[in-house]
Amino acid sequence: MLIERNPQQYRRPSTLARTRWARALYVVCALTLVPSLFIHPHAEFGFAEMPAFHALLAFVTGVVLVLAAILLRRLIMRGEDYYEHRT
Amino acid sequence: MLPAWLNNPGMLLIIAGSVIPLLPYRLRMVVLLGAPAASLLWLWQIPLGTTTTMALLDYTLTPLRVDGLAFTFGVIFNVAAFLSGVYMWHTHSRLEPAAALIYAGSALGAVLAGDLITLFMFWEVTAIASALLLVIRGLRDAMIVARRYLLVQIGSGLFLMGGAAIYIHATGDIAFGHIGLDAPGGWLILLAFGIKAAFPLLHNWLQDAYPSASATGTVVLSAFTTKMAIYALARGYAGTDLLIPIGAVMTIFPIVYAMLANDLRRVLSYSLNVQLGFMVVAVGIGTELALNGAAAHAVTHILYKALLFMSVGAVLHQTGHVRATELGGLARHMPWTAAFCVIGAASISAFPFMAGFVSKSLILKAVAYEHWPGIWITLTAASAGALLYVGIKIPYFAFFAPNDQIECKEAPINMRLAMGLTAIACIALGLLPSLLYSILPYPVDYNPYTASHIVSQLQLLAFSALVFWLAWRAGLYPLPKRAVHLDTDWVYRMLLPRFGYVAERVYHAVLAKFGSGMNSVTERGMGRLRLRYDARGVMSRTWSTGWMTLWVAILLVVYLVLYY
Repeated sequence: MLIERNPQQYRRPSTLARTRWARALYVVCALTLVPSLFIHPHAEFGFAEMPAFHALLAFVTGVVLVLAAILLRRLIMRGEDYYEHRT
Repeated sequence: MLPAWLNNPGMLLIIAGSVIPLLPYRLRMVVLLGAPAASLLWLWQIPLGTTTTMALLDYTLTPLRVDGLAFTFGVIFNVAAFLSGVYMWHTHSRLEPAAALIYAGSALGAVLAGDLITLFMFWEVTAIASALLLVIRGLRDAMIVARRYLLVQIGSGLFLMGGAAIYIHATGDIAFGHIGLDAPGGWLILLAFGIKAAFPLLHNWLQDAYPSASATGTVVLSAFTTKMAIYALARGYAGTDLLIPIGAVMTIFPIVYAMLANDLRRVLSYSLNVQLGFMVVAVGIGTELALNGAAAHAVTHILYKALLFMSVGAVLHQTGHVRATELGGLARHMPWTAAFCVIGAASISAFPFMAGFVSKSLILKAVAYEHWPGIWITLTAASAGALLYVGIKIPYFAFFAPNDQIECKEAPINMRLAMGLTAIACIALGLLPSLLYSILPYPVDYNPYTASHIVSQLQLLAFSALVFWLAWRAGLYPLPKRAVHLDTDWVYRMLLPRFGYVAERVYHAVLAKFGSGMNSVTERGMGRLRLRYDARGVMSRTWSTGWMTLWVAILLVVYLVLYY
């Protein structure tokens, strides 16, 4: 029998491994920015030739999506048995 | 020489599927794998440009038309049928392989159909065969879902029939070529295709039905119906500008739903919807490059989406659970499945050197060539979002989230084999784009692997992962919850039934208030009505299905006679 997990369980105190992954991620992010200093991008549109355009786009998109998800959940979340209790 | 209606690789699969339930287990499995393989070989050696015709009543049907576009979709449909055959090798069900083969065969037949009447017939068979895949699971909930699913699918068929009838009547031409919105019946046919392609607001049958099939059934379902619709759009509505904004909306709004969903197969269904959006945009652009992009994306998408559905299905098969709230920590128990899932996730997120990267690049290139900057940004953003709602979410919640309450074994060998083959295909098409290009409708002169393209893609992925991590750490990422998130199915699952309920209450209230004065009048009327309509009345006798069928048949015959 499975017990529904406490949401806190996903956020246990950072283990060593998790910190390592996070550091690796920061390094990778920084590394992807380095070449844009040297390579002139042959982008499809003028605005996309801005250095780090894709990094910025991804970041903004991500933030917007997370916020949208939070707001939408407030509007549309119902109980698990919502459709079973109709009329 | 085969008769023309049989001379079709799709019919081979349908016939194979029809005899499969009669065979013993081992022979069943031989047919399950042999039929798609034979059908693929058959299709491969038909020269491009081949058509066969046959006469039916006053019309000349074209049951087989092989050209570049049909070839691409035909090849991938056969490959998908073969891979899902491997994946369901362990099943002892007689009906599931049968439904899967008939479904694949009818989708293949629809893609190879050269006229609207043949298209309509195969279109309807896919609806019935795929509904059968839902029904044979036998669960009560699955039956209810199957009923809703079938209604929508048959609805699409009716729109196609109506549109095609108007079109054929007005033009006198039954050939299935470019239709366009200006053609008579054009809007109806677009609506029929749009329902199956899961256009916004018409999409919810997909997320309703796919998570309800069996572990193996969903893999089969994910491949055919929607891609058949994309093919039909590419054939009939290439270059229709209206499709561009429709597709762009499709690439964005399901992302948010996918982030919220708990059932991992529902997450994948929403993400399927997003990927369809990419193809719909490409069809709307309609240039050769764009149609290549749509076809290429259909190919890679069928592969990596099947791979993801297979890995999640393997989890369901082994643990009996598929919701994120109940899963996690399975990488220890199912390392192979976890690895294949990560490959599928990398492919859908368009990591360089994975299949998704190549096909998405083609579409983005086509959008840029035709100067749609807004659409280009939307698609690029959707591509970045992929990591948030599926690329990280699926592997993490199934395999890596902390959970030590589940013990299970690795998936059966045939499932691992199917996932392995699909994963190899995803990587091979990514490493050698020329392989993919060789089956596309038009010649391709495009290399996705330029330094600046790879760098920008890596930026997109790295920073998208960064947002995920930061939102996670801040406690903002919406965690999976056991809950229902309302979508358009609310209209027919809640609003319409409620409306009926309210109407009934109003009726009773009115009757209670004004009823007494009307009594004498209504009583007499009711008495007469009761004579015929109450439980024992002539008009409300229950009849057996057999009698009803007979009467319907008689009515149809009478109608026919009167008509002539």
